[in-house]
Amino acid sequence: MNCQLLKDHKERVWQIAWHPNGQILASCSSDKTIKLWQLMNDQYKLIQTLDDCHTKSVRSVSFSKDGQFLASGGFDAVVGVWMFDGSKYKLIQQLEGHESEVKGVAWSVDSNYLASCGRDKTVWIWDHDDLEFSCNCVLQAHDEDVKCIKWKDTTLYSGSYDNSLIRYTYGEDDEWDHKQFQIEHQSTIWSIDIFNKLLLTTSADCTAKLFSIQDGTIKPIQTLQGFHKEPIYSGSFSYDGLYFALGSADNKISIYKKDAIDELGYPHFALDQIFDAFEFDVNCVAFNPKNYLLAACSDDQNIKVFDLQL
Amino acid sequence: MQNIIDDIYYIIYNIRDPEIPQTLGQLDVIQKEFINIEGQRITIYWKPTVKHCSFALQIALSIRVKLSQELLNYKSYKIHIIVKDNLHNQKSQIDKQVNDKERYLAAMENEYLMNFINQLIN
Repeated sequence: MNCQLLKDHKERVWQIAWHPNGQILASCSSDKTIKLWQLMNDQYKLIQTLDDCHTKSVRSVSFSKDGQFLASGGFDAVVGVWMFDGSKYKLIQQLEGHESEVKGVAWSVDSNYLASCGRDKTVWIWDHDDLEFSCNCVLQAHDEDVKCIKWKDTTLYSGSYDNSLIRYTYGEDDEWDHKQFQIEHQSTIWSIDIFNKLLLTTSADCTAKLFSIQDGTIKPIQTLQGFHKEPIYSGSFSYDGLYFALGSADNKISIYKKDAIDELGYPHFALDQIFDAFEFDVNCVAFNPKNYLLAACSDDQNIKVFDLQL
Repeated sequence: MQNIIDDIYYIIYNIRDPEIPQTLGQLDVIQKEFINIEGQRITIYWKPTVKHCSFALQIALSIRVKLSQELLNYKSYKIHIIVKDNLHNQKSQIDKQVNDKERYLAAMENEYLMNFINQLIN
């Protein structure tokens, strides 16, 4: 398998995220930095190191859908917002409010909202008036750390150390309403990804689950189990929804392919391949938004971009 | 296999108990027989001296921290630290917390907590 190694972080790489154009990859690390890598002549080159925001591990990073903004969340309780000025991403604001580690950041599809979540059991929704970001709302619906957040249009989903999933919608009463779902994960939900009406969760219980989120309900479709022997930290759909990838603490990445449609019309996925990806834990996997390149990062300080040739 | 078990045992043997002036090894809190290896997964069971031990989390964390600093030859192994049997009132919370990578790594960046842990392991 073709694979490019992106090496520059000095400690564990926690998360990677693609720019919506598919050409730039952002990575964040326990070395307190965020790095940007750009595809140039078929090679990923380090183009920027953002080291002027966080004083502890950077746990999460996310591009807005128009690529104008980059957000980061760190163990120092800070959310960083960067803006692209035509040549580089520059820090424009440090959002403070979380009491302890920030574990996830995510932009709504229209880039109007930034959400952050963390150890303090809360989800913060930030909005911005031009370039000035401020807190729109603090949502405390989970009983424990909020590990991950994911937007679907203007609906937000969060996964938690309390093993549950919560959906937040902006109601007609101008309030964020929420609904909690016990989705039968036996431990922490580490990641959420969404493709159209499919929602994928991964968990410390070594399973991943696929759901249909049609018509305001969350219907279980499939549980993927027996493939990984350690917590699954991350899951990612391919740009066309025909595949998804899982990355686990057992150092492996597995790829699943859309296989069949059941009698209710829901798609099922089957294992396509599973391989040793790194020497240590795989912390995050992210399919490119334009093609079948899969980026992944690990405790071994490395990032790899796999050409899966699916 | 026995080599790894011996190495782990000797690394954590000298961790001091936060309340009693003895080590985890001397107190039989940790024992060689409590260390299991299955493939790449190492499970270290440990026995709190009392069911309501209020320092249980710090003890489990000190085992985690000391191994992360000293068990360098076996870094690819996955370490799970579990309260033996049902020997603590809050077993499930303690086990979950000390095996949650994000939680224990964040704890290791917490200066105040690490000052305490370092007194137990050094």
